[in-house]
Amino acid sequence: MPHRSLIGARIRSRRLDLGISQQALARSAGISASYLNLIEHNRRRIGGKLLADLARALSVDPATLSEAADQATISTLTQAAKGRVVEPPEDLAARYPGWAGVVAAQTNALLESERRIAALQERVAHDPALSAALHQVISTVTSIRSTSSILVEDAQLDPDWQRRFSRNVYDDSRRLAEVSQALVRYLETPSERGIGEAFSNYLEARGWHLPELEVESGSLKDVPPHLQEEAERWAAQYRDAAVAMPLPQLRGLIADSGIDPAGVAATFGVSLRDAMHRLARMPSDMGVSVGLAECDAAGALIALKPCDGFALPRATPACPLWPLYQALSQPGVPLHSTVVLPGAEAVRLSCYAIAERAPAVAFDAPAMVRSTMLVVSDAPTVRPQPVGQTCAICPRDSCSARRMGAAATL
Amino acid sequence: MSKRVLLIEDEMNIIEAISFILTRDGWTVHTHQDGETAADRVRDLPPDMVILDVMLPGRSGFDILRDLRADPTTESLPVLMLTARGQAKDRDLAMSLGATRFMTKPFSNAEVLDVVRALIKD
Repeated sequence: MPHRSLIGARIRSRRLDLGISQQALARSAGISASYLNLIEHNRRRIGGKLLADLARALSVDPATLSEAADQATISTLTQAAKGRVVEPPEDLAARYPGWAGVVAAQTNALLESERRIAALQERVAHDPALSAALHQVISTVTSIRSTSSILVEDAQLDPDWQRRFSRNVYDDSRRLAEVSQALVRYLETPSERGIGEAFSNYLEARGWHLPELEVESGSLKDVPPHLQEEAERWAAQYRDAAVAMPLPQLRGLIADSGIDPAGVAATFGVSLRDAMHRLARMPSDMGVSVGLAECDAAGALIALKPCDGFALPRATPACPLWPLYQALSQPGVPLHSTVVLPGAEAVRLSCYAIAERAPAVAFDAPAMVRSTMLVVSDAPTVRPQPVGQTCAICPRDSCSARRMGAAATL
Repeated sequence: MSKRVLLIEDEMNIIEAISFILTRDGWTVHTHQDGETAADRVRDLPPDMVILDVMLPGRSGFDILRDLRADPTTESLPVLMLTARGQAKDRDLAMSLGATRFMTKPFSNAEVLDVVRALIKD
């Protein structure tokens, strides 16, 4: 979906293409040059008459200025720059949307490859089963190499030794084949994280609202076979929520009161978490952009549904200032705040978050806490809390929550 | 009397192959498969050099090496460490603990012979 902060970048881009100074354009639109500068750098939102005046001065249709690339592309371009000093990604997206899309797609592919490599490296380094299997492979290969060298290089080898070593090579070869097959099977089994992300991709492609599950007996359509188990678990929760918070009544409530998880929870007698999950799965025709994130007590993402202006990194730690993580230090206390991301100060995200204990499954089981955050794009203008995507690419050097390397604090 | 080599390794077929080539080369080879009692075996024997695998049942080769270097009677004993893990950190750890040489699996018989001849000669 379009992201309005690119209006400023498009104005600047068009002005530069026409060779018009900021002062001249500002004068023709009846505003100061300093105010135009704020607009061009996305620090002021405009519309209506001022947008029309600027468009006229730039000889373009106002719709051309407000047509823009989505925030996901901007975020990806920011990651591609990796802190290097380059032109703002909004400028690239505004002037060369096609190339911006190409760079964004390639960056996403690269990030996915890096994520897979990191996951495999972590698996090799810390997975005891994998480590043991690899050690067994190497040791068996060593034995085969040493023994076969003796058989090949010693023409005078005593027949008893020949038989003994031949037998050893045979036994080692069988063992190597078995270990190798087991290793391949083990590596081919998708990790839990891999299945979780694959199912998220399936939901993303379906738009997260699944009409077939709005009826009690409904079942998910076109689910890939390796996601069936995850899909069934998710569908059961969706159906229960659809029964508890029927769509027609929920539509009416939203039409009257807007996106209000507390109101939904109170109306239908459900938990805040259930209300937030239900709101995140509303049909796109309702004209609201709603995201959701859920994490465990360690901050690891359990669920993620992006929306306009909101996305959290899956492979790297996110900014700790998000209400999602702030809620972990105040379990049971609902939090509501408005946040802005660097470079997108025109987009305010209204965040509702609560951390709760998951239902106990056994008497002596440890307490499991999870935090859930609902994100509504385009919040009313209030004093927002600055947050970031991830410290690695965040320009807010003076942020007190900025994450340093682990060794730096020792 | 031929020099004594103690091979501390838990893979039987590796033990047989290495023992064969060292014995054929004139060395007296003793073997030991258990990590827990390996250091005691070194002290009881004692060998002229040790070939020590890192991954052993009961105790790692690194811990055994640390013990040998802490003991005045074995602090200068030539030790060739063998490992299936070829990362630099394993090599660095082995050398920092006092390994005389470090070799990654799979190795060639000729490499083992060359090292044994060099270490015992030194």
